[in-house]
Amino acid sequence: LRPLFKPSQLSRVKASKLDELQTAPPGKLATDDQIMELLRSERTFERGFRLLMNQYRERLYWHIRRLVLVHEDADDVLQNTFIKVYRGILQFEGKSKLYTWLYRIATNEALSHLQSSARNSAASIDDESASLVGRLQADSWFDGDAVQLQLQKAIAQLPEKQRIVFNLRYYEEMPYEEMASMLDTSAGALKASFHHAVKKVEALFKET
Amino acid sequence: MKEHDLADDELKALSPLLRDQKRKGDGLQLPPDYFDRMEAEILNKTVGKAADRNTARSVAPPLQARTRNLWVRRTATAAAAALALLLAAWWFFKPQTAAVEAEALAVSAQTPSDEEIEIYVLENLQDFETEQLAVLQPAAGFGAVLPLQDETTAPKPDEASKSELKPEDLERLLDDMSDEELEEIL
Repeated sequence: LRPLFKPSQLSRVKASKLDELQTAPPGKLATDDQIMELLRSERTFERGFRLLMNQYRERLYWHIRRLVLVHEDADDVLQNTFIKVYRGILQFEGKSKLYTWLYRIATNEALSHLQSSARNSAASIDDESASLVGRLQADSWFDGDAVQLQLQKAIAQLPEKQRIVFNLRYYEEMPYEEMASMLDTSAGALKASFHHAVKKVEALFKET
Repeated sequence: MKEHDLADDELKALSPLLRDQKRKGDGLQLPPDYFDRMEAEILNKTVGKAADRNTARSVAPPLQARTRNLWVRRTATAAAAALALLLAAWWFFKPQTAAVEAEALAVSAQTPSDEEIEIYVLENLQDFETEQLAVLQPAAGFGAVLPLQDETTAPKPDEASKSELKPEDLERLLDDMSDEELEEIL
């Protein structure tokens, strides 16, 4: 599982800077650059990976959870996401922001999970959303009321990509520009997609 | 905070109903200490596994390394065998050629010259039969020995019979010989 280090990637970081990062308290937020510096050295890789998880675990969890809804599924998807990050972090070239890259992996993992669940149950999209909400209702880690459940049901009926855009903006309040770099779409198109999604969810929510 | 305000204003304009619903929360909960346990589990699956694998590697080489070693060994064996074959071939051909050349030189060195043959014949004339002496060309006398006759140059039976000395020729030959030479022959 351990990523392979290229010789050129080994220990290019100044020792003093690494020591500073290594001795920093775990709760202290590190920048993406600092995390990447730690990850590029074999000696400090583990520390860098711990920092990365610490920094992004909650944001990624909630992003995944709102797509798959059930905690158990979200846990599986999040673990797979971090394992993929662990394996592929040295291939990250820094062309996009680290969290954009992480979100992309998490989104792909969540969608793969949903698709595989749908294949296993051989259900239509409507049945799929109903099944998802049914599982949420049975989830011991959901204590919402009927209205909150109805909102989740309405969101679950959105098409896949629109649901991602809706969640990123509605719950996570992600700027459109960041969403655009993550989803490889223009900010304008995402804004239009969000507006459509809001109207659709509102209509479905009012129906019930 | 700025993005939060922007998003809130946007939602307020789009759907006040959803904005209010958002403030009430979504009802999704988490097990206590979930993130710490999840992090430990992932580290166990990634960093821990890598550490285990590194330990295992020090005890027994992985299949890939063993296969690689096997290929290296096979390549080395093949190279050694090829080198041995080349050396054997060189040894087989090169010294043999030299030996043949040396032998030929030795034979050519041992082959007596015409002059040596003449001296030898004259010194050992009594050991030769008359027929053998008759083979000598009369015109050339004892100073010339007939070349060795191979199949192509050998006279045909009738030619051979023609070349045999007749009694009168032998008589003439004996007349031409000096007394010393006759004494030596007898």
